[in-house]
Amino acid sequence: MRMKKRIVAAALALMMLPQGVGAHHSYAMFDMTKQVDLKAKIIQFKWTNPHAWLTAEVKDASGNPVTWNIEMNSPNNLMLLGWKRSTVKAGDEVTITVHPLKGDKAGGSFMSVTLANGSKING
Amino acid sequence: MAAHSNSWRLGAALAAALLIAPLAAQPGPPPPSAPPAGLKEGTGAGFAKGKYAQLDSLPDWGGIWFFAPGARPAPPKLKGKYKEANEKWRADIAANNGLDKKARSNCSPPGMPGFMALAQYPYEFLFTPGRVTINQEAWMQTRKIWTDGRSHQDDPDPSFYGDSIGHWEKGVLVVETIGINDTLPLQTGMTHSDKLKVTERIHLSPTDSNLLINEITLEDPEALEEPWHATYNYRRDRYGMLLEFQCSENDRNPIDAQGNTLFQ
Repeated sequence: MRMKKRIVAAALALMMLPQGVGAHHSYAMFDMTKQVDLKAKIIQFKWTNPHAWLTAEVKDASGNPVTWNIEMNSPNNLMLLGWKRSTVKAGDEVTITVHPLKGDKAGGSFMSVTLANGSKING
Repeated sequence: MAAHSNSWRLGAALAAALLIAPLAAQPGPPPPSAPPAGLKEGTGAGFAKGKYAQLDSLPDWGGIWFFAPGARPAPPKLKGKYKEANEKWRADIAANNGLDKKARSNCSPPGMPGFMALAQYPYEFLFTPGRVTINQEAWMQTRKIWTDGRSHQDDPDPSFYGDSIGHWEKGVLVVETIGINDTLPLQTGMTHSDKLKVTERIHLSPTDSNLLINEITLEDPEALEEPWHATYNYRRDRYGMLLEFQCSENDRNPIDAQGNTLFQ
């Protein structure tokens, strides 16, 4: 029952989130038409407002490590989607899907993460 | 001995001077405030004792509320220099890959009326005798609405949330706000004059008790051709809580001297 309630709450939260509209700043810096999957090793997961934030190491085409900055939703919305401050931690090997920044900087707007155990969590 | 006593006195005087110096720089406590316009001495929100039971007749707005934009109305019809400024803003964005240049840090809140249309971060409504307080998680903003019968201040200092006077019409909170700082946005890319007046009618939906409705009207004889109306919706989460929002704790999007939003 409790689980069902959570799923309903999460679905509700998703419906309520205006796609690509943020209160804190405009999302125009991201290319919302593109999606990129990143094989990443988490460097830091910062669980605070205005936006939760991931920094992660990703290998570029030549195999060199590049640090990506990934902006997430607000922790309050992420909680409704099942996130906690311990959902990911430094050293975790994950796949992160993002809308990349426009231009060539290594960063993006978070869409989802697939953890080492295969479970996927949206944001 | 006398010399010794003198040096002790000098030391004591010096110590006293050191102690007093910082205190002397502080102003003393101010005199108490006079009752605001429209209120008699001994009445108003500051005299809440004995009036808490009356709050039970107010509608049930418990829990927290997330902004849930409904149908988007046509944008406000600007005029004069406000229209020209908006057209320039649009042209600048088109020339800048869709990116908005900003004069103000992302850690600075939008104030009213943007306060009432913030996505991602929830609201709570607190009732105390003679006052409704709206807290908004983003920037930990607080809006005070006086419902104790006072009238608007004669000459309110321009501020982020303005001077809000409200009253209850059965289950509807009717609020009028003036005195909003004219350096703040009316909406994204739009400014307003110091004559902006915001009127709100906030109430539960007659068909859905978990939906709060705000019928909002913006009037500005200098910046708007005609009053602008919108209906904002908010969805309830009974057990949710507002989280802390210390923008400087995780400020990844500062604004540089040219107005570009950084990402770091």
